[in-house]
Amino acid sequence: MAERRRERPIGPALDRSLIDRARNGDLDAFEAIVRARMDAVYRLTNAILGDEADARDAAQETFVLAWRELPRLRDSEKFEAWLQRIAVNAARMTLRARGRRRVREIPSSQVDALAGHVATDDPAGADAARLGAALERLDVDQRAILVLHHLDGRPLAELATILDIPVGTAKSRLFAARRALEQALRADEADG
Amino acid sequence: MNDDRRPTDWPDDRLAGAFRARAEAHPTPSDLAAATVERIRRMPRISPIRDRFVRLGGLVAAAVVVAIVAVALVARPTAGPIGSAGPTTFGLPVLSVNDALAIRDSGVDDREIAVHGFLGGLAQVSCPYTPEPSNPTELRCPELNIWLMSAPESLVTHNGNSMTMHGPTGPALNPGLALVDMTGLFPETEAATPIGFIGHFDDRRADSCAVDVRHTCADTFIVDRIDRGTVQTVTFRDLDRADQAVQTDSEIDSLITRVDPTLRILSRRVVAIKRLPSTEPVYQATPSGTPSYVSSAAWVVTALSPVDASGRAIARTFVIFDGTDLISEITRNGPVQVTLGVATPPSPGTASTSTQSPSLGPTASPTPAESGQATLSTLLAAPITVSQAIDHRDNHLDDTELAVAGYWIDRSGQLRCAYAVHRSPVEPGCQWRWLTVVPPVDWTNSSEPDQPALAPILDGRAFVDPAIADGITTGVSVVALGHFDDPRAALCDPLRVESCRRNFIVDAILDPARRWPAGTASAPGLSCAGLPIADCAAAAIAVLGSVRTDQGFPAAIEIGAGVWCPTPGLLFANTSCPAGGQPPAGGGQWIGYALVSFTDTSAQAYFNIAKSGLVVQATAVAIATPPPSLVVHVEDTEHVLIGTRSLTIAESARLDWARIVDPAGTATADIAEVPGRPGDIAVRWTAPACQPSLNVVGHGNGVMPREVAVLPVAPTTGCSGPDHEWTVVLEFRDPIRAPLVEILSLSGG
Repeated sequence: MAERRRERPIGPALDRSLIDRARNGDLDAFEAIVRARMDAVYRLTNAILGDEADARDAAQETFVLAWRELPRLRDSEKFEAWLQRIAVNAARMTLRARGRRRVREIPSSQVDALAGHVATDDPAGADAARLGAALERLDVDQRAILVLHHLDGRPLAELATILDIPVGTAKSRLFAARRALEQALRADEADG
Repeated sequence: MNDDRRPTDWPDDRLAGAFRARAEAHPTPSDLAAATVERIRRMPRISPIRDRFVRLGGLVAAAVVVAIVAVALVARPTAGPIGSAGPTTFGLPVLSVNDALAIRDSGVDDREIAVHGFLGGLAQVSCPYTPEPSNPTELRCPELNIWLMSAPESLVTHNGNSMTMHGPTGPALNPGLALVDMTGLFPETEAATPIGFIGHFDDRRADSCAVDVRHTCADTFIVDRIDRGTVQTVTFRDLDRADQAVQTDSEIDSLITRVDPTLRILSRRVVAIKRLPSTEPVYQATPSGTPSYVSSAAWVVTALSPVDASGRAIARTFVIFDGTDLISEITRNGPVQVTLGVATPPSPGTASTSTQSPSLGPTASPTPAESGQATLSTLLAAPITVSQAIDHRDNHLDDTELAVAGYWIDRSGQLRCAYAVHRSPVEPGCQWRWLTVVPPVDWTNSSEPDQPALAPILDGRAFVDPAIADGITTGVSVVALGHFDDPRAALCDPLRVESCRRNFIVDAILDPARRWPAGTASAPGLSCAGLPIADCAAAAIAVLGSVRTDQGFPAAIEIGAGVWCPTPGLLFANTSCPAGGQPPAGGGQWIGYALVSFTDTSAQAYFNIAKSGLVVQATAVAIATPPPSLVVHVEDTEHVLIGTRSLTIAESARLDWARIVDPAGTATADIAEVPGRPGDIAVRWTAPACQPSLNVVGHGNGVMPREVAVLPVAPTTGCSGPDHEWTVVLEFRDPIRAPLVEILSLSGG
């Protein structure tokens, strides 16, 4: 039978009371949320942005915005999707800001990939480098839906919730993003 | 082209692995959580009330001559009883300004409310120049000088010859009036006047404000209607010229009624298209390009939903591009196209002559090709309109192949045009061909149609039905097959790439009236895979011309690459089959096959398609009535079937057959992996000599099962009895294992 897609929570379940306390201004409660969800948020922003410094900024901005906006969250049950939506938006804003920045930090771990020096004995690493280069050709919305689906294993219904779009739209966007990615991968191959 | 069957080197597993490797290479910095918390601790959360105080303080600093007394505003008013018995308007209870402020300060709440108070301030004051306002929730001068107050106050103080304006001392708010006609709103006197507004806080447009003012935008009370004590709605016309809009108020209202008859129109505005983005930020230019529209005006209608059990009602906003019946509802997620219900439901028992069932209720349709699998099957049976195609371009730009019904105008020879060399074949040149909604009335004084239209690009590869003459200047009904977002747009001048993406590239122009069988109102469905669209269109026409009338009315035509191989027993669509070893009678080469199914009969007609130069011909191979199909369900993730073949003698001796049974337990088939060929699966079953077809179904990207191959059976005569064993090898591009194959259903075996 078919291998079912992984449906991985973004972390250990958060106590709803923790969210309610944070919403009421309890910073200690919010700190607990930050620590519980930072990995997931950073993983998301890094996957979208492909740049450690940018990902760090976006992840931090995500929680800053979340702290400010939390009182406006009506349903704490929707906190997880809401937080991820903020993270996607934060990544988008970071990407815009990147265009205005003259100097971009390049972590040493990316130098080889940027230079095209990919270790040939590491297929996964080579694929990761090729994927990273191809993602650069996609807009942030396409990156986000691909990351959420293929990295986090989010099914369509969750994609729709996180991105706040109808399921049908999530489906068509995922399809279009996948197609764009494959075109980008081919284009990168053609570019050598 | 939109070809989701193209083989991929990046199946899901590989892609997920690459994502994981990429993520694992960059673990979360160990200090990030602590640094984030530290940053948050240094920046305590600003309460909504404090936020407003800070905002008002900023305004005081900015407005030199205006002294704003903010004390009354930051004093949170007590929310009184809301919704209690009392006067109502549009079914909404009339609230005081105090009540409205309480709603504003209670959290996110975008319900529609009616607020009565007193309007004061000076609208006619000199304001510093600011760029065109981009968001109605972002208030500027002079709106910041206008107040809706709970009690009448004079906001102007005279001192000799000078005049000073100040803010109200009592509860008040600045109404956002960008969406309403303010004509006559302000009397000549400076005295506050009684007024009623219907509107809401937490408008969706606030999401488009810059982050630092988004809270402020959300707090703006957006006025949807000035309550003048009448239910009549007067259209606010913001046009460049009086005749810029062609639709009437009643036509617009009729469309809204078809969206939802329970909606009550609060406001109706028609604006020059260039000003649409100023009230609907969603239409503002994006990094991917500036929207362009064929309509020169747009209607923006705000309508009130019925009050629900909790006493809440929501305002819904619809945008209609003038001259069309295309409605998009503007939501927090952007424009969502609304499918209109019919004006009056059909009476029971009325047979529909259309293959597209009318929808009685509105359904949001974010994209016409939701599955992303639209090929030529798209809509030839029910082509979309030119207006819908324009919407597709403007809101769902992709390369989905579209069938667009309209009127074809070719003015080549009438218009002069300078020759220009283009980098890309999809770069627009002389615009002398048009696809319009209705035939143009008068071309005398204009080189462009006076209605929504596409200016298609017709390159040398396009197929034009011979029935359609050149140089048609009056418009002839056609179905144009084509697409936007052609990949060759990338070759355009870098400054015109986005423009090129929006050009409609025609693959074929068909005459729906002449070629479809007479006496029917609907054309057969058409699917096409593996052939250029132009060839498919030509093949479809050739096939229809070859179908004998006594065979019935074609319900569907499936066209694909390969040809039917009428080998004994089986009739495979096969790219290597020499079509029985015979060259096409009319010369040229075999390029494809066609399978025609008919209404009211299970018969199927098989054709091979030949092309010689520009001539495409269909040759009937057989017509047969196959028994029910065997369906093999292949539960893999990519299911790229690259071919079929017969089992070799050597292979047959080495196979380890496994019996699989359909869920109902009524039929069986044998499945075997082929040693040394990981992508091959052999299928064996016993069935009548009249042989069922074999349908192979797979899961595309784990989303939806879809058919990946249909292997019909050669028509034979005099066949009978379930006494024949059939074997076929399915060749998949990727490795596949026998346990991943199951029978979904089986009958006739």
